[in-house]
Amino acid sequence: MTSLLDVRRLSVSYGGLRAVDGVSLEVRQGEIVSIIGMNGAGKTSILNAVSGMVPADGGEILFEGESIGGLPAHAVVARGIVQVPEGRMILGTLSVEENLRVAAHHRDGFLLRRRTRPGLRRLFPTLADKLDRPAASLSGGEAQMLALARGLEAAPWLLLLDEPSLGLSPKLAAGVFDLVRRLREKGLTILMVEQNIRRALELADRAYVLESGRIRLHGPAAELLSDDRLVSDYLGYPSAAPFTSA
Amino acid sequence: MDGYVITVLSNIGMISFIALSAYLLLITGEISFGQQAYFGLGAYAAGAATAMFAQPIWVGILIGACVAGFVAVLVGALTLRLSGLYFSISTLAFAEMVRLVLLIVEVQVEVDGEMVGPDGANGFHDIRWMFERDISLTEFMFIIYALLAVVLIALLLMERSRLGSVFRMLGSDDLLAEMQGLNTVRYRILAAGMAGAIAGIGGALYAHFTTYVEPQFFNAMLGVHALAYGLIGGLGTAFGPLIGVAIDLGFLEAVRFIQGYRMIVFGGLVAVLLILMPRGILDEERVHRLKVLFSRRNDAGARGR
Repeated sequence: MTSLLDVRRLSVSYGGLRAVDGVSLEVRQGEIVSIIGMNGAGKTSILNAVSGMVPADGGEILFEGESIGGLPAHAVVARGIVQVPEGRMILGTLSVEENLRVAAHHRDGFLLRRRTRPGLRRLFPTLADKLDRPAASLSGGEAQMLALARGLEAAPWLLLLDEPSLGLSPKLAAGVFDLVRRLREKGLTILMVEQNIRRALELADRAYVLESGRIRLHGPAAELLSDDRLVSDYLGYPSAAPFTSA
Repeated sequence: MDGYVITVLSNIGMISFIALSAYLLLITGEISFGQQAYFGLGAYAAGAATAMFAQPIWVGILIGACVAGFVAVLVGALTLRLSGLYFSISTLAFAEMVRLVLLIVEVQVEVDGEMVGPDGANGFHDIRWMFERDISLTEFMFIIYALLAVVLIALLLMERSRLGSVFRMLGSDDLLAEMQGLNTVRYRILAAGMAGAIAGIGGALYAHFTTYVEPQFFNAMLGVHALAYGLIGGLGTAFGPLIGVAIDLGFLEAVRFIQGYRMIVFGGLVAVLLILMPRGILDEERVHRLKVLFSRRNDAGARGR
């Protein structure tokens, strides 16, 4: 498999504080890759740097072999990298349809195409019936679906998901993860930051464990799921062996 | 209709243009205290076209809109990096600059033995297109409202289109807009240009209605009022600012017992409304409810038939 996104020695700082410190990671075509770690580990900063929302102060970001570091965010979207931000960030005063339409460039995108919206109905049946409602009236789960739908409407190759299950009940979160899985089956590549580590590892092909801005562990998700170091530190189960430095 | 009523209605119509201009920027999240500059530039440019160079008024209005829109694009490009308070101050500073420049500009040409054109602090006299063509105030009022209808319909269509959603997203969160792949710089300049051109049309009409303009008229108070109209009337639809204008000019200025106290009442009204209805009378939520109400009524009508 070829590498779609290649991040090399990426560093991001805020006012002199280094949030991401020399992180290298790659995402291959058709994969789901998770970045997991504690709050403040720098997970979101990596996504923001890739999508052009924050400037990197070191390292390289290659997409399909070309450098996209330093491009403005809208130009990154034009290349096919779309970020679904943490906390949904949909616009409550706009209707569901208007929220989607903003992301559909030039003409109606896949979801809004045709009057009966077959694409939307198939992937987001709950939204299809609420197109003209103000987005503020949606529930948390629906709002997350709208944020995902909006991300898809921008026709991405690579979707950057930031905490898609944040604030959702386990059942709704399961629905979101199920959707993510279906999107991958449709050929989308996904780089995901997620607090629910067990879920994230079950869903992902590979994962990176981030600690204080550095990659501590990485590998196939199934292996990490049974890795003692991860189990003891993140999943909260007492491990047989005491923590030893990686 | 007597002349007074026609004058009031015409003023409402003409000032509506600058109110719509400020409104367009308000929905994109920018508070401009400087739209009076484009109103003034439109007035001077259109006046020059008809009075100095004997162009028909349509050409004058077009030139007024283009000059104002073009300058607005330039200013918009210069002030792009500014946001919030800094943007607002820069618009005010620029508008004052335009006013001060108009105070010293003296460019006159001889037309029928008389000198016509901007004459610095004395203003720009004899923009006499209406009288030369023997057009009555009433007829001119219809011209004003026809153009206002065109601009209003264009804005309403714009609001229903993707561009409208884009502008509103820009107004709520421009980082989010950028994240959706919107070139926020380009859209901001587009909004600035559109707003400038709309104010320019209003100014062009104003110059021909009064036959005389002076820089003093395009002072900061005009710009502040233009902003207040949208804030009073509501930011949910382009009808909002028109309601604001109608309240101020139609009610407060025209009703005689309030006259003289207009500014006091108006200021109080703005303050009270900003507390009770921060996004105006017709805010997004009420507009949505009205839409639902109307569509239900239409559905019921359709079933009844």
